Amino acid sequence: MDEKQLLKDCLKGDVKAQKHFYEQFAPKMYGVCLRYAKDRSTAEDYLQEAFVKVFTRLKSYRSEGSLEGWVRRVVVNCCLEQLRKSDILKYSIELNYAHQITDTDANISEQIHATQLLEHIRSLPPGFRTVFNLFAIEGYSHKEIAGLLQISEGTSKSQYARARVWLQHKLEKESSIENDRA
Amino acid sequence: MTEHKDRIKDLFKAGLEHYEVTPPPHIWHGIVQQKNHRKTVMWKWSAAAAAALLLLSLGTWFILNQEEYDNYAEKPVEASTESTSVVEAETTKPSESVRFAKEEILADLKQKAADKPKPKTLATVNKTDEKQFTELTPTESTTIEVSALIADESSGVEPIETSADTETAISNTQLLSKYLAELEELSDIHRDLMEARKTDNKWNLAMAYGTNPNFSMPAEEYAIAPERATFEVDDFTNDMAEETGYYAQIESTQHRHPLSFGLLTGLPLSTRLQFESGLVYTRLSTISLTYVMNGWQNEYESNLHYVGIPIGLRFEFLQRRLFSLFISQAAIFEKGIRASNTTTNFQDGVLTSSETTFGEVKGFQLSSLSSIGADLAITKQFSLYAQGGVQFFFLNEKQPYNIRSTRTAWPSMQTGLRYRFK
Repeated sequence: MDEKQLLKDCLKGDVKAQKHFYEQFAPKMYGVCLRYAKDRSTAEDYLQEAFVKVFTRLKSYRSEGSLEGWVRRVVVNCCLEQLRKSDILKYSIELNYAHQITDTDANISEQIHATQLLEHIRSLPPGFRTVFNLFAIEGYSHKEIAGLLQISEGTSKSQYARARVWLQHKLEKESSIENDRA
Repeated sequence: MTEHKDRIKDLFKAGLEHYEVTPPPHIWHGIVQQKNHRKTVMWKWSAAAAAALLLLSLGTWFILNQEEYDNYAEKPVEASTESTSVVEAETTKPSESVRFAKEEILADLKQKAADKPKPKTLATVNKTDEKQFTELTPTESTTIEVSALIADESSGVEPIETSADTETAISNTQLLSKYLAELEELSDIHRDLMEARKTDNKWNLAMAYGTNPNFSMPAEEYAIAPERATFEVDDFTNDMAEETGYYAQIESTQHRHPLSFGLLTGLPLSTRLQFESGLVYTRLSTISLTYVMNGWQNEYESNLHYVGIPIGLRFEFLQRRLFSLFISQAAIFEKGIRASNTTTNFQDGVLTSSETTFGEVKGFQLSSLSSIGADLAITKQFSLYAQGGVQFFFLNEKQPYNIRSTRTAWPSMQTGLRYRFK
């Protein structure tokens, strides 16, 4: 179905069109939610809440960028909103780790499956995970992240640096186990 | 950043940016149900607001009518314990001050009578009716006195013996009539005062108008920066953030005067203390303008509509016939009922597009208002009042960006028209 026609029908409240719209974007958006949520059940809640928001706000889509990009932005914002509501984010952002892992040269395998990467991301504390997702995968700047999470730019940078070191350590550990097996 | 650091980023971006997983089928059903539920919730909120208003009106009506009924049913007050006889008539107890006034006049009359030879009639009136006189209401006692005098004088029980005595008697009668007239007048004034004070002990209804100062923030204040303001990022501020490089392109932010209108009811707890509550509507309006870039400029206007319930106490520390001075302390619970946000685009100063979206305002706003004011009587029932004070706002982090996001304490000014029920 033509995207413009699909949008028109969705705005009219046509449930069939809305379902079609959902089926078109849901798998990618579920992938996004899985990165921000701590588990699958929470990711499902985020996805449901996000699509309700997408349908409510669909009239404000101005066809300036890609529709998928717009839907993704709404979904990411919704995930952030849910994280803010639960206050997990605030606690985690303020969390100060006494023992920091040293940033060393890594021996990381390039052949890692997406599911494994996802598991590593989900093992991060919520604050680290959110900042890492926004900076590394969504491509937001630290200034933008500061605005979205209502934290300072410096906090965003330090959270990202710590998340990256955390992930690097995990990947190194995984690689060394695989090497030992080999 | 080193090459190594970029590797981590690139690895995760490449692996997860387009990661897809088919969601379980029940999510779609959940979405449909939630969409329908939202519509129902809106109706429920409207119904709850209407029910609260109805209850408030009915409660006020019931209490007012109950008081009116009580007034009708009020039994005659028993005579003072100082009295030697009980007044049978349906009457209220004369006030102490009226009794003192009567006693003063009677003492004066006695003194004048003692200075001159007095006819028995007057002495008889003074001696025999004095007790009854003090026990009756001003009007009744005056009537009895006058009628007693007329009866005594006309009956001629004690015939007047000389013309000098006749003149003295006439002079005394005139003097007494004059004093009685003064007494009548004094009683009327006192009754008015008492009536006015009585109305103070009734419910009152006030139409109130309130405002806080407006506020303008230049670019260097970086108005909506998260470090400088406490607020909940909603869809509108989120869009604004995306379109303005996370607020960096905002040239100025203007907060208009917050405006409040409402109806307040006052329930007297004592002659000086009142419990006050009611329903107040408040509008908060904010306009942010971006810098002009290549002839383009954006304007973001946010209008938030709140309905609040103030609960407080008002203490009149100075009460005069025409005015009173008071202090008051109130807690105000506000719920945002609607957010109306408009984005307007200009090119070379000419409006090119404008879009308004409506949304809900989540959470509650709590504030504390401490003020001092004056109430000036216009008529017996109506008075004008004005009060000034300081309002502190709490729970701002759950509210969309508004004038209360950057500062929590604001001067407050209120004025209104108060009606005291009879």
